[in-house]
Amino acid sequence: MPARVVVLGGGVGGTLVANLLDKSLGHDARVTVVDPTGMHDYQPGYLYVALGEASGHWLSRDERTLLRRGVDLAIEEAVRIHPDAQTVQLRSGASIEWDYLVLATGARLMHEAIPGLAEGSFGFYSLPDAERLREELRRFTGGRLLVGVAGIPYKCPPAPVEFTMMVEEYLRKKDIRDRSEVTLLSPLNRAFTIESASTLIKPIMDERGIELATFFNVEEVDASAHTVTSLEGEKRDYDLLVLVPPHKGQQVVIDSDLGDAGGWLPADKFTLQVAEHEQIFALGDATNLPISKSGSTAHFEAPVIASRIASRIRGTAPTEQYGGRVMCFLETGNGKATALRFDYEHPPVPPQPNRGWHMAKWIFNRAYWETVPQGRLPEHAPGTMPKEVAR
Amino acid sequence: METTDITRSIDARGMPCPGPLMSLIGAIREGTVGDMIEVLSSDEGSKTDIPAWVAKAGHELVEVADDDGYSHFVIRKVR
Amino acid sequence: MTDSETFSVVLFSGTDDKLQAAATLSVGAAVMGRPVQVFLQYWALDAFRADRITKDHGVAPEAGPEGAAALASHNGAHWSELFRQAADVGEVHIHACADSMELLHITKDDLDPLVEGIWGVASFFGAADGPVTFI
Repeated sequence: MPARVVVLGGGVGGTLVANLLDKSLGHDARVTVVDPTGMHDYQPGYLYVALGEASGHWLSRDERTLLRRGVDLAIEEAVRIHPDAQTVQLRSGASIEWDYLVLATGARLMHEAIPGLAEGSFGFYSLPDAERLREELRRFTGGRLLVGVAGIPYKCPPAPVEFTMMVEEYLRKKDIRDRSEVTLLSPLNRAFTIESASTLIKPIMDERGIELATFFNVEEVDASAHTVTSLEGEKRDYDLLVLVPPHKGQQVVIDSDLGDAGGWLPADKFTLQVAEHEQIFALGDATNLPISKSGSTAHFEAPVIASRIASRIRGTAPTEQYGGRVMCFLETGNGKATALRFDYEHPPVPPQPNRGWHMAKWIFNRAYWETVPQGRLPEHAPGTMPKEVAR
Repeated sequence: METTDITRSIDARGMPCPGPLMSLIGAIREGTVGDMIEVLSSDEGSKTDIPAWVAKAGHELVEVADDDGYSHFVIRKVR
Repeated sequence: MTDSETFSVVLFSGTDDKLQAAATLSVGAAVMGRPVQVFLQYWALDAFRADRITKDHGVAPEAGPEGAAALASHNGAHWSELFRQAADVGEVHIHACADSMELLHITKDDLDPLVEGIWGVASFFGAADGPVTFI
């Protein structure tokens, strides 16, 4: 009797876990991915769509084409998880039973949670938002362009910094830079979460005349007055406002009483087990771990969960642990980028932004579809850990 | 400080991104007035960063303590 | 997940276009997690001399004047910088062919630090577990 593994969510985390389990267990497991749309989106591409550097059609693929033949795909919305009964209830009314459950449900955007955000600002965290911003940028003839964050936690901490650096270049190429002011509204007292990266980025921002506003956590937007207000009590005028919207865990997590105040799943930092539920695991954006909500996090977590579940199914003790590995590229404009590579034991040592890393990001982004979700990359990739911290 | 008083505990030791301060801001934004939020941080900068933001955002820094290689903060959401 | 197959390159040509191509391929292999082994022979080895590495090495004849102009106007990093950056992206090793060193009367001290060491052909094939690309 094969063990039943149900994976909720067909993003990078869910797809990779499912494929690795099928590869390792074959007929010893029946793996099913449940996803509401059956489409797999490559979110890192939205940044480039917003800046007119790429179109959206390469950013979405049928999940069925990314899953191994032995993995089932149910295009359904999960509405309730029953840990004791070990079932998942679907919107259609049907129910799926599981022996092991992997929650790869991701994060959703909550534009409506911030007054005035939808009416008064633009974004690039979804394809429609990125396309709308692209059109607005095309119409932009100069003015005060502000980039900020309207909720924490949010996916991809580098993204607002990347957008700010790249839009400054965009304005120069459009010959309206001298008629514009570009400002990054940072939630922190520096440009970026990681201090060593902030130290590299700040001089570049200064050189390009990009203003940094600190401790600015967006609380409200006034679309008619064109002002944005922070919870720290500051108000600023804008002509074009680009915001990262608030994020929340999925409703199924909240309705199942499994999530915290934000709908995020409490998970063990090493085993990725959800709270006391020994048969339930979580990875990627859906967890409440204070780590990066990044595709690479899900990518590095997936083999740990696949290995632990496979061990349990075989009746051996699980040994794999997630060591906190994250790998993020960070574009700094002008064809250059740096890289953030770290884990729980090794802080990041980002290199001076260069063209090699920008090229590496470009190549990796385009190789994604044929490599990452199928588990075709060696475990340490993309790239390697920096020489001075390699183990 | 009694552990039962803590509404939410964030162990951000060894986690440079989004970092202890960012995680605290998230917990404040998602929380309710009166929440007691505990943050564990191995980052030296937290000793200045966290009190600075808490003061600017109008919350209360209830406790700061140094333990074995990390700092321990308790913050109350005031507004 | 999977084992990584080494990207093994015998880099023979010494023109800037082919050296640029080799460097770009090395960045790609490195980010995809494949160790890179570059073996410098003949004119590529000559181009890696410290005193001329960033000088003009021309382009292959088939480029023609238009091709040469396209490469010149390309505002990217020099191939030597790309090789250096590739070594930070992933695992990249560059060795000089001992026979070519002798033929061209080049010593280790003449070479840019990008060149890690000197190998005979046998050593290169020892490291090249898989197909070998010739540029």
